[in-house]
Amino acid sequence: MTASTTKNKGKRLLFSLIACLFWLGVWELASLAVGKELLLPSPRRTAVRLYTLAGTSSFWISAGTSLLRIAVGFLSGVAAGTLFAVLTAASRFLDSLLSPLGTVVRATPVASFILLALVWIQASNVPSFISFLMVTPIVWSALKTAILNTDRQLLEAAKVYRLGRLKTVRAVFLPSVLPTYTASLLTSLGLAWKSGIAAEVLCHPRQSIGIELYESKIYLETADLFAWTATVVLLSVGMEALFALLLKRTLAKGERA
Amino acid sequence: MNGLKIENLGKAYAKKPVFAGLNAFFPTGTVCLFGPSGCGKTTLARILSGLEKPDAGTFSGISGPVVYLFQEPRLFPAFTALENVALLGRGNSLREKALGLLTRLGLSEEDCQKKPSALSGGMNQRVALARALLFAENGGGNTVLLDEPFKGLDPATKGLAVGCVKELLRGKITLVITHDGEDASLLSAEAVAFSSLLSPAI
Repeated sequence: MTASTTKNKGKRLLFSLIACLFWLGVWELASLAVGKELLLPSPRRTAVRLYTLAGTSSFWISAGTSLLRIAVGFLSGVAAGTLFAVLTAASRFLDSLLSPLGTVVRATPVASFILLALVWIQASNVPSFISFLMVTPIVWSALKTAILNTDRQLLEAAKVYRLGRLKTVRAVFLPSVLPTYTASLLTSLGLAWKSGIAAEVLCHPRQSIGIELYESKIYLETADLFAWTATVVLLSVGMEALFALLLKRTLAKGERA
Repeated sequence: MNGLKIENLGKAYAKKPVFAGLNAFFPTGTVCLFGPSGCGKTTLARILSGLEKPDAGTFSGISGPVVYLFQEPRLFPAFTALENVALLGRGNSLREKALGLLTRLGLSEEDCQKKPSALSGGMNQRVALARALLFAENGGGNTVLLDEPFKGLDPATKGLAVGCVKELLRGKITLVITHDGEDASLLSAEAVAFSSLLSPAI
């Protein structure tokens, strides 16, 4: 790593820290202005509640179960979206056949899907299903567009030089689609969390962040509501960072191979 | 006599003819085909390489995959210069051959490890030429099409490239598409005007 890269990284970190402190300050001031913890608890009070909750085993069980549910929904959504993208980019007939499905899923309100899913499947499986439904069309649409926008000239070169399917994928398709594909994965990961937790709030599966959020609201424990929301944000951001790191490492490994 | 025979070939895009009634015979050896831009030289190369279908006519005498050096380098951007050339096959011997060819064309070993985006236009042109020449030797058939192979090369590197083409494509039917009339004499090849092919059957 060069000295200038390290310097830039340090600068970015400093800016992030300043931004974080600035918004915490805004939150603190807003809380002081409102003057009622019931309406807007302060960051300090939220942190104390989060610390207290994190000391209980039920916190970790709820957070872990929600994490697992959303990860299952996200990963199966990525797999389905990737498969649909490859199929619909390869065949016009399949594109005509399957595209309305993607359009309907994108246009339908999440709440309608949650309530319908509650009728069809077990409440504990609804969050995974909803995350899956939200992730699939995003990955599908982004990857299909990226495949179709692949440089035709390079594809011709691959054909003329008889590269074969695997080498064509490695030499032409992967470098072309990866930036869009990874961006769609990271965007859809955030959406998987949002929709998955919304499903938990509406479906009340046992041992979940959603039920904790719902009960905090029912019992007017606003600090708990904020603490659980902070948990979701931390888990979502943490999972996104971990996923981005894994992708970066895999890509670097692929480039070296 | 072995060679590439083209009979009454015709091609049109959106009902606008590029050429029609093209007849030619290219024997084993090198022929330089020249003509103004847009006359259909590249379209002919695309038809012979199998990338386009003709609207009329036939051609015969091609065996095995056609080696086609495009007008643009069309290198794979995620791979180094060496990988672009060695990608055509497997094994260390091919990699060594690729490295040998690239250095012969004037690229340093350091340049060979760079990606196309880090190389100059002339260097990329030479990498693309090396890829075509190596394919001609490993896997390519009896016909080689080089569309402006020396574009953007300075006289010194052009000399290196001409030397490689003359030596490595011996025994092939080689069609060099060019704007530069000097190329035919450099390659000791016959120069044929594209317009002269658009005549009644030979």
